[in-house]
Amino acid sequence: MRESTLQIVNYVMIAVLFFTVLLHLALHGFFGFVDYEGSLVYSDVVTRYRQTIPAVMLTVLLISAAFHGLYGLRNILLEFRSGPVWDRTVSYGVLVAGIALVGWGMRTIVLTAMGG
Amino acid sequence: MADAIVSVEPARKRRKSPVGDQVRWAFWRPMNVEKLALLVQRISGLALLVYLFFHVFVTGFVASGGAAWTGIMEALSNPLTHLGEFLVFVGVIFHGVNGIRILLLELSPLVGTPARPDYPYKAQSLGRGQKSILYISAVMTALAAVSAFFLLFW
Amino acid sequence: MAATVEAPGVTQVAAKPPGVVLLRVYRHNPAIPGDEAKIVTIRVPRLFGMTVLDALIWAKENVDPSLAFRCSCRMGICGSCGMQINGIPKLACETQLKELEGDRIEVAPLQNHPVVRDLATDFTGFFGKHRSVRPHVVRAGAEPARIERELLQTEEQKLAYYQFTMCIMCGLCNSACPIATMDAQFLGPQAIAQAYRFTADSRDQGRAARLPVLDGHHGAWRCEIAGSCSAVCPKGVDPALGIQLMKRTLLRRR
Repeated sequence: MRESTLQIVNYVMIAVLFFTVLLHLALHGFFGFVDYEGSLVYSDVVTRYRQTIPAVMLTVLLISAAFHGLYGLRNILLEFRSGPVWDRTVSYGVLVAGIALVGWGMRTIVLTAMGG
Repeated sequence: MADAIVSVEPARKRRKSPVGDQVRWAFWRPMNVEKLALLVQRISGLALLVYLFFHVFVTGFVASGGAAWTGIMEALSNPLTHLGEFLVFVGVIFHGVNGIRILLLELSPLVGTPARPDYPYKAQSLGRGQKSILYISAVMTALAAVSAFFLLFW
Repeated sequence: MAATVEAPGVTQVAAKPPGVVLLRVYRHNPAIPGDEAKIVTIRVPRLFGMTVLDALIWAKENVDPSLAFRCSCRMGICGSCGMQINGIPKLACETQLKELEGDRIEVAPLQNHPVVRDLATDFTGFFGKHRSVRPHVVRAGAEPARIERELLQTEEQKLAYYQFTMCIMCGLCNSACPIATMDAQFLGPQAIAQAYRFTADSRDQGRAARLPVLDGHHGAWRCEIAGSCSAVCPKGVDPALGIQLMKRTLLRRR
């Protein structure tokens, strides 16, 4: 896969991440519209997970944050050593970490949304 | 004219180490502000990635019921965690606004357009436009720090 | 005694009085087994208009003939005398002593290049990276290209890449670049800017040929716009600009 392909995906993720992160911070009181402590009460949190739009937003936030963060980590790690073996190890290692992270987050969202 | 030699001393050996190499360049000259911004961008990015893993793990407790959730929230309601959240918020604001600057440099004419280089050479890519965005990001980071201080500690 | 020369529109720095500077030169000969790197401090008389290169030549002629450094044109066009002067990669022939602060001048070989001897560094890797981006006009079809007519170009087409032709391959940008410091395989600002010089040339048809190197793991995308390359370039090439334009070209190929 060409680097420019990954970079285009990264640009898209950056655009998505920018807005979802700001929304997420706003919904938890960091910009003053909502009470910080109140946003963490269990019943409120669960209600949010069970509504479609917030759940989708959290999923999108998770995927874009995981991609952007791990892509940055991969770029830093690629500098440490030379050679195709290292390049492949880093790229696939980071991919596995990303799948694990998104998988755990999706588990949380799905179980909470479906739980009684 | 050997008397013109004032002294001979051993040169400092540079030890190569992965972490040392990653940070040492930031303090080599030339010390331009964009290079320092890159260092802070990398550090904030890595710190936010570590936080992301931690955050996704902690929020996983909501799937285990009200008692588990309330328990972990109470365990994490201490000044140290609030300091962590403070740093996360400050880091997000700097990383995001400086990131916009990088995005504009890569994709828009902010970086400059090729022209005839005439002395004294002023690099367009180090121009005032992108420097002002960098200073805006510093100002917004400071504002974020103040507001997060009042939110989390006051 | 301060001497200033009046000239319209030109700001002059008052000349420092004649005296001495302490030239602290990095000395090392890796070809001699067991030779340790050292800093030799040499007292050099400060003469009016002296450059760091003048000081080095004085030291070589009057103190130690074994002092090794590269130089040629002494006027900032050959790119041979690149070295770290007080920690910043500069051309020794274009660095006046009077523009340096203090009387102690640290002279060291360029970073990110292996040392051949004293201040002379090995440019094999540097030239290799340059060659890997095919720095010549590439025409479609077999090489060498059959050119039967002149390849005409308008002034606008020339200006699209002209500033990047000013590169003298002095190596200062690759020394200053933090990514090149950490990643030995990174192409470096010089090679990527030169790749853009040819990609943006209307006579060139070789963008596809250069793609594998430029769009690879250690190509143009590893640049993170630290800007140090453009900060040290002595010829106004602005390699950072070239690299960002190269990135946009790589995106546009879709």
